[in-house]
Amino acid sequence: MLLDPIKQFFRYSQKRSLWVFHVNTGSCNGCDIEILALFSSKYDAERFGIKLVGSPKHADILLVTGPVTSKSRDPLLRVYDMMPKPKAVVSVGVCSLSGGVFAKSYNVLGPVDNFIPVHVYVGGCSAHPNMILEGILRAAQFLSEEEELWSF
Amino acid sequence: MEFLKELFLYPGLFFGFILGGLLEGVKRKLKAKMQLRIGPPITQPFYDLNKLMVKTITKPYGVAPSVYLLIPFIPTIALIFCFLLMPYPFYQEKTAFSFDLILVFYLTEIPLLAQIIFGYFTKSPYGMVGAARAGQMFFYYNALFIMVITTLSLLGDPPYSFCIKTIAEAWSPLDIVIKLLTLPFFVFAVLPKLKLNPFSIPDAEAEILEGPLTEASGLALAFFKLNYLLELAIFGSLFSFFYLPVLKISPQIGLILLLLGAFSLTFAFGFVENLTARLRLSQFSSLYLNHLIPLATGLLVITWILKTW
Repeated sequence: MLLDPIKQFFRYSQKRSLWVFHVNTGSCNGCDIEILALFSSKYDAERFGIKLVGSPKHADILLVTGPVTSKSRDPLLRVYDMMPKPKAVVSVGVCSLSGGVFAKSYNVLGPVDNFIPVHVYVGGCSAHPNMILEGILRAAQFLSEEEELWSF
Repeated sequence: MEFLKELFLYPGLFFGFILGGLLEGVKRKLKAKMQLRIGPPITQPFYDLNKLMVKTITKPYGVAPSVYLLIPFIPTIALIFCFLLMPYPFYQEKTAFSFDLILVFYLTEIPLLAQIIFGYFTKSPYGMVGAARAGQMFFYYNALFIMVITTLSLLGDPPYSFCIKTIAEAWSPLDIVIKLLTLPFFVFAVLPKLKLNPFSIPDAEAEILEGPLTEASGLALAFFKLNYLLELAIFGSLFSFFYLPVLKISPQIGLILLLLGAFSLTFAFGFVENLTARLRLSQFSSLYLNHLIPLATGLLVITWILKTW
């Protein structure tokens, strides 16, 4: 009971500090460019505490673009395992949702949710930065709902 | 009890944490404003730190968890003690500590050494490259920093005291001129210490991800981030002690002036960080070895001559 305000304080911090790691599993780079635009002056994702980080060990949210290919499957699984809990995954663009134009190609294994749990799907070819932003903010809800605090 | 209050409240952990967090928040806000963005709230560093504290730890294979947490924790203790070695208003009158600048210099190097050890210890290739770069830079900017603090130690009475309080109270016309001349060297010594642009070489995101901290996660990363905030507060305070008459006025106004000085330095750092691109390691070493260190040595010799004769 006494810990409730402290827990709420930490949960609020979790929602206000979203560090994002981006993985391209075989996209055409269209969605990757839109993700970069997210951090530019026009969309300014940093105003919500969103930051692009270079190491999956620092990340809270994984942004995946493109369908999973035979070459990118293992790196994707490794990156997902490396991320500390609580974590959430946002699948960006129609290719990561269903394979898109790359579906049924000889080296495409399938959409992202066949391999790792996906919390938010952002459609579009390419996905609009505003939609990606909304996807990240929705994924933040899962961060505080899925895992118990102090799980270490 | 009094000692614990000083260690954890003022001028120790709590003060350093709040000041460092606000300094970092202002720096990020300034960066955003200069890029025509709204930017994160000034309290963002506190949210980041809180969040990291409740994340799980994913340590690399074969690394002992106790050592993984101990490496970032030791510098935190060193930096908290650093605050007790500085003559903060309302604290300097009643403490028995001597305000030893050499000790502060040593203690502020421990976070960097911890990062280098962590980079090698976690066996990440990015961590190792980042640690190697940090280790190489260490010698250049510290040589400059030693020149600056030796020059400043000649000011005041007695000379060579390396006492922060003595330096802070030296405000004769000659002292003011020498202090102003050391200011650019101080800035050039502190910028790489804080890994800010154009000297953010060990943390070059585009090349080596997060540098020595690539493998840090959860509480270990939280300690590293806390250390950074404490370092910001320490160097901001040192700037105020050296270059503003903090101890020559009443403690109330002195404390306000100290905070203003720290924020001004961070503001200037944020400005420089935004305007400059990252240098290469060779450019950095050439700048320090060929220009800054000889100039700072010349200033030290001139100060010594002026003060001796």
